[in-house]
Amino acid sequence: MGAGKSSLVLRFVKGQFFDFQARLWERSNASVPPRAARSDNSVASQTAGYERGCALRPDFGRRSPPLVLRF
Amino acid sequence: MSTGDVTVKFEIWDTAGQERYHSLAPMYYRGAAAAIIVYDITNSDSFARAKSWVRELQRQGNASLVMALTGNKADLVEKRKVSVEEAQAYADENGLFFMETSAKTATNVTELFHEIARKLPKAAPATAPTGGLVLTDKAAPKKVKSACC
Repeated sequence: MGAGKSSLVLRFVKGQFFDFQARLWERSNASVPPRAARSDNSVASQTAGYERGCALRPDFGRRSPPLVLRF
Repeated sequence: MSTGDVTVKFEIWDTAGQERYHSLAPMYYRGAAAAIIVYDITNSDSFARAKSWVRELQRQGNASLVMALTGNKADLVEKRKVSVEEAQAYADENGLFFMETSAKTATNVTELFHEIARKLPKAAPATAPTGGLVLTDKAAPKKVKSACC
């Protein structure tokens, strides 16, 4: 089990807490890299829009059929 | 978040702690103004890993990085494996600030980010681009050719 980094962020940003969220996350999406910003507890991968996050983008898109491009 | 008359906007990058994503980590901390290194107080391995992250950031991170060592899951006192004294001593030795938190009970979470925000403005002048290169139209000093190659 993790140390609770994402839980700390979720608590700070949204005031929410979910038990065992890493476990849920890992089970549902085992080989996809972590999200740069995790704003909810769903399985959606949020990419980093910043240029320095650019190299991560293929990893986010590869395993997910629906892709939302927002501009 | 406001601290005194300064408003700090956080851009938080939540990294993966798993070893298999370790090579991605520099992307997260490069250029970062602050880092929160989180371990689980009920797990001494996670404290050991936190220490190795501290060493990595001291080596690779930016020099004025504000580092916070955070013992999370403070609500699980009965399962505690890492003492406050041990962590505090380590933090003092390494110039980090230390806090125990609980995301579950919301203990010290806002305080943690508030403390980071409070420490940032002091560090800010150091992170501002300094030096740089002044370009002039003077000819570059000729390089002395070496005899070999």
